[in-house]
Amino acid sequence: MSIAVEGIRKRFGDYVALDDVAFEVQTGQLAAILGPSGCGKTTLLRIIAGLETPDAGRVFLQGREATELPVARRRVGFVFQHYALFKHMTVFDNVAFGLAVRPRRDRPSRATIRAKVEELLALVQLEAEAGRRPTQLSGGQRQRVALARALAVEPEVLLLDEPFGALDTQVRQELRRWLRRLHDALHFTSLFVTHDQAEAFEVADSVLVMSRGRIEQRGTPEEVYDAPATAFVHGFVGTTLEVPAFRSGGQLAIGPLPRVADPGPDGEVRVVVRPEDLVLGGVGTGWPGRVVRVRMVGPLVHVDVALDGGTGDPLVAELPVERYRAGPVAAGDVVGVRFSRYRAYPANAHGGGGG
Amino acid sequence: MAAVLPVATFPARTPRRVLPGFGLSLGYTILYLSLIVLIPLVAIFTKTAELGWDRFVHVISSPRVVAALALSFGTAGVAALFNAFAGLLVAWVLTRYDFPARRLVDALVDLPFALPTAVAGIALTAVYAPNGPLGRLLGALGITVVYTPLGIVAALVFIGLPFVVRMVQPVLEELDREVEEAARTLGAGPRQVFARIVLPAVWPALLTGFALAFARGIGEYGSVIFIAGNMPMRSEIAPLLIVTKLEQYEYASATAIAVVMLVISFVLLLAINALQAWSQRRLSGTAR
Amino acid sequence: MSRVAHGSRRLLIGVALLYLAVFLLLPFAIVFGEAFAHGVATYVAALTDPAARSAIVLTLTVAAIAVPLNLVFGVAAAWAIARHDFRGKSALVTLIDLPFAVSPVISGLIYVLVFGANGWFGSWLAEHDVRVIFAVPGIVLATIFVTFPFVARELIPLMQLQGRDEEETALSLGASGWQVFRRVTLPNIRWGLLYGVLLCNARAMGEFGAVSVVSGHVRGLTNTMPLHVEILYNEYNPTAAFAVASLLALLALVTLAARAMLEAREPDLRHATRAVQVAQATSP
Repeated sequence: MSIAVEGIRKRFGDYVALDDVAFEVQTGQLAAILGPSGCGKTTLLRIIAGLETPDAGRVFLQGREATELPVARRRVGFVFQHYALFKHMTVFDNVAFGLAVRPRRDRPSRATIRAKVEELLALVQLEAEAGRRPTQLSGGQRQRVALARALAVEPEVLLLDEPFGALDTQVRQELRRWLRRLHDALHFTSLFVTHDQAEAFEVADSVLVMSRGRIEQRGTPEEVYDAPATAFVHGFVGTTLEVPAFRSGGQLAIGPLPRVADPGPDGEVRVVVRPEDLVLGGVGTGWPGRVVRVRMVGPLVHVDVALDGGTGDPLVAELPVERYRAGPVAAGDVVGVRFSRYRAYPANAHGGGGG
Repeated sequence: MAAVLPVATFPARTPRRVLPGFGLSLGYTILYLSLIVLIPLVAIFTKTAELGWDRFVHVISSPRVVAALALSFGTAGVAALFNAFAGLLVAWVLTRYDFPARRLVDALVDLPFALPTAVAGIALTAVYAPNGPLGRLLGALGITVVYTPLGIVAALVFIGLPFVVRMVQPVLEELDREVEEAARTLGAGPRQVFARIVLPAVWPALLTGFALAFARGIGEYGSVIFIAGNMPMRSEIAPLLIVTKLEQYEYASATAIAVVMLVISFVLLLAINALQAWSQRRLSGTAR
Repeated sequence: MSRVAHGSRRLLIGVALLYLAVFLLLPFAIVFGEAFAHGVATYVAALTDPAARSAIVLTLTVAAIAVPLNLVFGVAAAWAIARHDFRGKSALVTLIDLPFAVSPVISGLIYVLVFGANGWFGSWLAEHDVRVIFAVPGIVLATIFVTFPFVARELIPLMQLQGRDEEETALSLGASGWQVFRRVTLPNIRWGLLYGVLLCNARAMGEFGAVSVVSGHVRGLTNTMPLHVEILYNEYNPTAAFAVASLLALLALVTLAARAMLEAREPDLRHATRAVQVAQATSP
């Protein structure tokens, strides 16, 4: 595998940034570290790059231990969130930097460097901007210069810190797809950090969800979304509705719904549901509730339902327009609510629902 | 991948520094700082210690020394207070109004920083001398400036002006105009806006500027000695008294006065640091 | 804007400009007025006088030694402080500022106490026939002391403002430490460096109090330009005194103009330097 870390710990004073983190990224994969701000994801990326030293733990790159290796010898490409372009150099010189600073015996000839830089600038579609300075470029162009610069030294792994964080929505969409295509074309191993689940799911082959310095879950985007390992992950990767439930004698009771077998200790349980997994039927088909409001939101219909005996705000079901048209409801209707899918977590685990 | 090893098997690592040259640059910094600044400064305290406590008290409580210290602190205080008002006015005009040559005027505010003190000293003496342009005017009103404590204040006013302006100016620039406009929409008059919105915001910076001008005024030498007349008990500032004692080879006395001034300067330096931290906290709190 | 507001605006601008004209510009202008009071020939004669010439040479020599030394120190200190984290950093920054808080007279005095006849090394120096106090080395030392923090205080906030990202990127691209410094750090700080050197130089050439204490005022040997101004003035030769002073005033003007140009060129500098400038001017 290309990237592996084990037992990584890092504290800043009293603050525990990383608490026993371990994972690996397979060669050629594009992986994302997903988590809210302050969860330690950037620190982890910087430790892999060698820009930060872990208090404990080991880093492996290409199967070789790199924990003690200085950053210059790790052969990682690192793209900073704000790109860190060399302001006083042209785009061309920025991209050429990594080749130009090589010791004389390893340094390619000027012509080779020029050819290589021009090739990379063509790849990121910035041939015309070669003579410009970073301040004369748009955000998306700067991002691409930073990428080309990192790729110039032919890194074994590419690390990107919030690669799309500083861009506006439109450019961000385009660059995501472009990065994915670039990755598929070049087949390097990439790891990027993001707080945006849509970004992680759209771009990455595998996702690591982090919270409070720990890895909560790793898996494909499908696995993470469909089978969140913890209530935190459930809440972080999508909208979460929470319904009261308790378990006794190995049976789970969700409101008045029929009990189902669910082994585990007795007591309160957090049952969480995605809005698209709410099924509305006639009275008697599920948990009785009253429709409070119906709204068309683009291709979806949002139906607010107040459950009988439910605590807190109404649940918001999201159904595709066709399904709604098959059985339309209106405010004031009494319906039965079922859950086509739900997940149960221990009630005292950390991490909130919401999202 | 093998199972995660327990952390205890890893000895605590000393952090490897990412950017190189730390040891060299810090080592050189501390060495140079020690040789040029710290060790020579220690000399002043060891020399005073030789004096003994009783002699030390005797020296610094002699009437001439007390008068010099009182004069230095008094004139520095008056000048700094004057500059607090004048500096606030200049900073206000420079940030709030646009007028021809504003940038030039802005640059000229730093003139007292850039002009060597001896040059300032003889120039101010020429300006305030009985036959000088300002001296003639003030003389007609019966006011003598040169060779009096008033002359010292005039010199320190010149020297201290940029401090208040340069401290207050950035705060006024960062001040959100919308807050003032909001106050106006709520019915506040211009004076109320200034007193209730602007002044509280610039207060820490104004105080810092005052303290800086004051600290500078206490130790000022070059610009003062020409205009002061340097009469013992009347217009002899403490730094000059140190020089006089040195010229009479009274090293111990000179050092004793210097220690008093140094200690007060250091206390002021710490106070200014605290003030600046406070000012910056306030500024970043309001601006972002 | 209401008429009242317009009126008070004019009044405030008027008062501020009048104040600056009388208290700042007038003293500055009078230097040149007095210098040329007896014509250009007298002015030129005052500057070409052997004592004046040797004072000019000594001033340039002292600055040529003190400024580069403080430049190297400033870069080293800024590299340590703005590019690394360590315990006691803020204490170190305060210590670097220390010379700003010391009266110039005391700045001279400390070297008299260390190297003077009755000082720590006084007898040793006398035995080896080395003169520091009342000689050029003392003047150089005192000048280094009073200009000590200028370059460092200019670079530290600038480099902190710029962050470490560019240097870290350069490292990850395989650059060596020296390459990072020369190709990334240095180009980024060059204007700030120039700015710090300008201010350091202006102060080095214009320092009076500290140098006065250690110089001994030997005409033609240990007289710098500001000291020469004092001697001429005290000898009731104001025209010559102002002639030499006019050169120093010109230096101040050039420094201010260069500063304004640098700030116009690099807006970043303005923010970093304004705060710094106040700190460095704490020194009398």
